[in-house]
Amino acid sequence: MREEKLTKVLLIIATLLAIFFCLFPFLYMLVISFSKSWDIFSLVKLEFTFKNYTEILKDPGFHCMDYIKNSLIISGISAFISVFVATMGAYAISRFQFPFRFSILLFILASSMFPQISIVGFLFKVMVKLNLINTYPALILPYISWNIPISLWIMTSYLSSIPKDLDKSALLDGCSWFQIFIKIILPVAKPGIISAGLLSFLFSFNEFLFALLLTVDYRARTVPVGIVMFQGLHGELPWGSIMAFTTLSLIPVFLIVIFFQKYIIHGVIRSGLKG
Amino acid sequence: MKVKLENISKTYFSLRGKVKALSEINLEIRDREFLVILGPSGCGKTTLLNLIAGIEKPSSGEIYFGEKLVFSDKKNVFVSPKERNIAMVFQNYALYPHMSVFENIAFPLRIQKMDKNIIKKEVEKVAEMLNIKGLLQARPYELSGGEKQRVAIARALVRKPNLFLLDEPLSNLDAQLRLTARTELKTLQKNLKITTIYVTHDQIEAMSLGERIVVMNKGKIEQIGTPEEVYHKPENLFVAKFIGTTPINFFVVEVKSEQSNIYGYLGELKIEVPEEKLHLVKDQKIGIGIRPEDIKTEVEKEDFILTVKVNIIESLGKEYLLHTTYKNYDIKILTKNKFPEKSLIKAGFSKKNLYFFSPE
Repeated sequence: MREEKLTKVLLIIATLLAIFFCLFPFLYMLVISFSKSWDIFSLVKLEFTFKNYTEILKDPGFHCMDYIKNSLIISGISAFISVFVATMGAYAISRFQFPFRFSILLFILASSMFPQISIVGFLFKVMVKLNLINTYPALILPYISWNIPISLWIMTSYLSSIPKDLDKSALLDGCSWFQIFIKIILPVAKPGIISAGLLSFLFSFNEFLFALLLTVDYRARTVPVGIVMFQGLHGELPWGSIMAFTTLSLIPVFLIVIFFQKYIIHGVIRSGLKG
Repeated sequence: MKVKLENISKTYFSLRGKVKALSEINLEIRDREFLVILGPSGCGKTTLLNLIAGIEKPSSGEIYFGEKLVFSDKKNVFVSPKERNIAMVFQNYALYPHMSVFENIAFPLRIQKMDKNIIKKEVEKVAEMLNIKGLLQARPYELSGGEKQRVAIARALVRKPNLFLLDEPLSNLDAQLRLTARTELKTLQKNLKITTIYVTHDQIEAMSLGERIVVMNKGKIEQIGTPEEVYHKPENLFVAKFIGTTPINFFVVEVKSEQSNIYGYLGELKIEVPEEKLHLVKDQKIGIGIRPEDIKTEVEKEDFILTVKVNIIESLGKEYLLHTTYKNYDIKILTKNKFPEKSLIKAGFSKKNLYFFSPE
């Protein structure tokens, strides 16, 4: 009994440590964003304040809300389109017989292995030619192509795990191929679609390089670039404002993940009971 | 509805090259018949079912539903599964996991865009018939195996199909449930009078359910017949081996001619080969088969008597299965009497229970 208890206690301690390790940066961020001084190691000087938030929200020159809005729209649209395309592609790869299926999959994955920096110069030229610099499509288009390979891989493995008998059964029940996709495969694959969508969304939300080079001002600039632009604005590093802005921009992402998380867990439970 | 298959073949092209899954299948399923397709896994029985359903296209041949041609490679006819009005129950039931039981059963009717009230009435009717009325609001993952199977059958029957296809529907159930489900299935088919094709690898299931049995092996039909015919008159060694709870004893023996008769020599036993079986002799050899249940340990009335050594005894409850040897032949015997291991006993069988096959 005592041994069991000890294991339990140790396990809890280890878990808490791991959680603390992961969450410490966020804690740091929160504390700094609510304090007058940014030196967390001299705790004496810490004083609670809302000043950092009011400051960046009041001054329109900061464009905080613009950046967050841009980020959400760009990430949302690119995640939606890339997962939609990837799901249809994955359906074809997992359900239809055609030559070089696996090679196509590998080829698409390989194409995503180019370092971003190697194509960014060319991408800039293309966007200038298309007159798209500093617009949403300038970021949405490359994000879609960057997100499709990983989404395609996730969706292909997810759709392959759905028994083919479901398709056959729906076919006999009178569905066309498109109806099978819409009425059976899409709802059953919801957990996979949401995981792929979340991953794509987070990638686009965090992306820095393309956003830095293809946007110019608040009309298309995204959060990561916006945060960087805080530096040097007043000739110093305004850590309080930076942390306040980071915290603000994390709120929508946090809410989205919390909201969709239950679908992912639900999916795990459901597939566990199949058979 | 009558179903007729003429010269159906199916070839797959895979990385390994051409694979012939079915070759030259000719089969006629009578109206309202319960036909069982029996064979080991990989013999093409599920492929055959898929071809009848229209999920896959045959490489060549013709399929008729009643008088209507639904597939022909030469005349380029292919009727889609939707228009064939058939229903199928799969081994894993293939219930739609995101729909309730009611939605699952209603799905085929919904696709046909039927009126909501009619759908409700039809679903409730079929649910009543299968005793699953209380489950209509449940989700598939909340159901037990037996319940899932009933839902799958309900979904298949709700459309009033012309042809009912079942692909190993009982193999995921436990032994007890399988027995009751078997009986229920048979009663259901009798009451509804739907032409039914049932695929299984379980010969007991095949014997108990089928009005006729089609025994398949390696993409070919080995024999078509009633359960009694395939049991008592197997046309070849494969059928003889596949049908029967304990596999048939099979010996390859030398034949010698003596006067005008031909005899096979099983050790010291001299077994006369009947004239109509003489064509089976190859290279002075013939195959002889005898079922374990036809070998008796009370030998008074038997034609052939031999002394065997008991090696192992398996208790099957009401009977014992003896693994014995005679000379260098292994012989299995099914008997009600118990014998000590390592003992020598007398065993006998009669002429009428012998089967003759070609030696390989």
